[in-house]
Amino acid sequence: MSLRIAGAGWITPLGRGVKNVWERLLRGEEAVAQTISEALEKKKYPVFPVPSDALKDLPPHSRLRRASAISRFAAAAGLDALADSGMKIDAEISNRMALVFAVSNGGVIYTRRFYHDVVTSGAQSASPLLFPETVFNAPASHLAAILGITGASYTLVGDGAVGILAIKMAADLMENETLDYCLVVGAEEADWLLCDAYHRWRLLKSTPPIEPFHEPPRGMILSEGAGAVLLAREGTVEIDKIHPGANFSRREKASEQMTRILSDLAAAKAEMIIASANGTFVDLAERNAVLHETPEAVVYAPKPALGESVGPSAIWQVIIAAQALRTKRLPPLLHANSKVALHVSGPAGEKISASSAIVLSCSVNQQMAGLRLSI
Amino acid sequence: MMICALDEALAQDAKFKPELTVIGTTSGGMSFGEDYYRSLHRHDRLWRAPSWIANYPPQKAVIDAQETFGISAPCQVIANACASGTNAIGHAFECVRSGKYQGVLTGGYDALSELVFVGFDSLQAATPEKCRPFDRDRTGMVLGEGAAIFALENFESAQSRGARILAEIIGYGLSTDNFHLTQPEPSGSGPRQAMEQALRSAGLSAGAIDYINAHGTATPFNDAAEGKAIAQLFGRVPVSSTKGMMGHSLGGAGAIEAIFCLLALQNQFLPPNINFRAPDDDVDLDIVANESRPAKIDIVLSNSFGFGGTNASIVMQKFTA
Repeated sequence: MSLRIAGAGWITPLGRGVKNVWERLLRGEEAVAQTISEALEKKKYPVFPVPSDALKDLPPHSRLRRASAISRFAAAAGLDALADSGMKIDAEISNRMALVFAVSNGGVIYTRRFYHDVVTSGAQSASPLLFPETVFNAPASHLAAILGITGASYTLVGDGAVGILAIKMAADLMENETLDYCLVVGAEEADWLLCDAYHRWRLLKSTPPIEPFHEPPRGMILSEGAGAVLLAREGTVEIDKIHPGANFSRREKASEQMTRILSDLAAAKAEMIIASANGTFVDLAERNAVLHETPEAVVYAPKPALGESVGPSAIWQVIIAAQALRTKRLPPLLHANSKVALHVSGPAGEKISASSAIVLSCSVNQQMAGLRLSI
Repeated sequence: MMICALDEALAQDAKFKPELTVIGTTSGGMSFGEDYYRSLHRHDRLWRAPSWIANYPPQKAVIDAQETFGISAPCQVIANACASGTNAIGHAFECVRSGKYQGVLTGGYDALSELVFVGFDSLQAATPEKCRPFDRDRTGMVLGEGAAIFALENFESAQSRGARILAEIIGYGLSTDNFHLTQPEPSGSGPRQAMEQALRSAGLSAGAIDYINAHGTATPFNDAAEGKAIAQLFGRVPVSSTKGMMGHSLGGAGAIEAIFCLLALQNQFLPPNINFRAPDDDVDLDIVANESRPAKIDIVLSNSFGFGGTNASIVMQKFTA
């Protein structure tokens, strides 16, 4: 079965729209950090937020009146992916379309608000308006309602690799010939609580930038946004192999597992790797795997420019890989360790002639996956 | 709970080697998140935060349980609210039926947590008295918790290695009801679409179904919509909701209720719908009221519906060697 990318939508800290964000990445731009604070604690953290004007053109919909940022990001990315494909959705198309939603932390802003009221004022203060928005599948439900999808809708939860797991699930769903399209959307919203959690887990950096492939790792900066890819049986970029994913129970095992995934994906030759390096221990796993399996491949990692968005991060990488194959260009890898033995995308970016790209995702909570695109 | 359920499943078939794991849950390790937030609020015991945070993600319990038994299959964790468990089993079934996978570990889990308990209470969906599914005077659900796991395998593969086959899954249907984030469309069109699709998937007509394990949360809205859909589609097929006995374990419910179906098929009985007193005036259902019934049953259907308008149904069949 042929699985192809027919459209993409992108909401990131560098703005909205595939063309716009791609041009900014090629120019070597990076997101601007803002500091967020919280009355609970004195600690402040940097995050890369989505610019406030990015959603100004989002069409109004009753489902979005009270929805949290994550649902708005998802709606914008999903609608943009459909627009990018040139498709006008109607009842016939929506009946033949499935939705697979990838998320890690979900509606954390409303979840924190809901539980804060419970903790500070008691159960009688719990809001019946907020609670439904705390459920993991609330953003998918809103998007399905906006698009009129009445068939399959799945929300997959995982860590940073969940976007690839979602594409794998979409590929399995599209084995069923009653489906012509699968919209895969990943979304996340940034919140102080997430920053504090990752900080206490010793994975967060106190100030930008994210510095990939440094030893010892210096930490990541969280970001937010959404990414969407419309999968179909026709399109210029093909997803020709998906590794179903692997788990690692100890960080020391991550390199070994990632090497296996890359070996499986790069059976012929890997020309380009879009890595998930985010300034944490995952960088070492990716570096070791690339050096072992595909040392000549040019490596680009978008997280120094866009931050670690977790849920949508792997879908952002897929969009980048598809753009690189289409435009024959790769953005410069920012803030990389100059002593890293990898062939990284240089300061002026790279002109490439690659016809295939591998996306790797190794994340901080035990999951990893990968896929290969070709044009 | 995941470890206990997986232990019991593997004790019956230690040779089962899954290529994929598909598990449903709604709230994962929510109680760990609560511990972390309360600790932040009190400025106390924060040295434990890294452990709470590491255990909060829903995939952690699944990966840990797998690791306990030396299983390393990739994990897909479905969070489709209260339909998650049935969605997980249904997707696992589709994966095996497509021929892409020989064996898939599947099921669901959820543990009680304060946030979820208070949330359902805030919606006035929880009852302060007994859970009375399909009763005219039902007042809501009682939350439960638990886990259930199935080893799902291609029939030929299971048979060739001499595995003890407990039952067959033969159909799966799902739908998305865009009516409201928390309420079903009152006519029951979403549940009906899922059940019709499950029948088509199994290649059956409605008359082939011998028993329905209903979602039956005992909330006024769910039972009215589901009852209408069942009555329209199946007429007077025996129906029970087992949530009166087990509570509503959310993402675990569909998997737990699939085990009720499996036991019903193996032992030829209809599980009871306890705490039932009187039927709704406008819905004509054959409720298996209060006591189990012996019955000859070959094919059963199990429903799960959830927030976000997710509806899922699976069809199971008695296995005869």
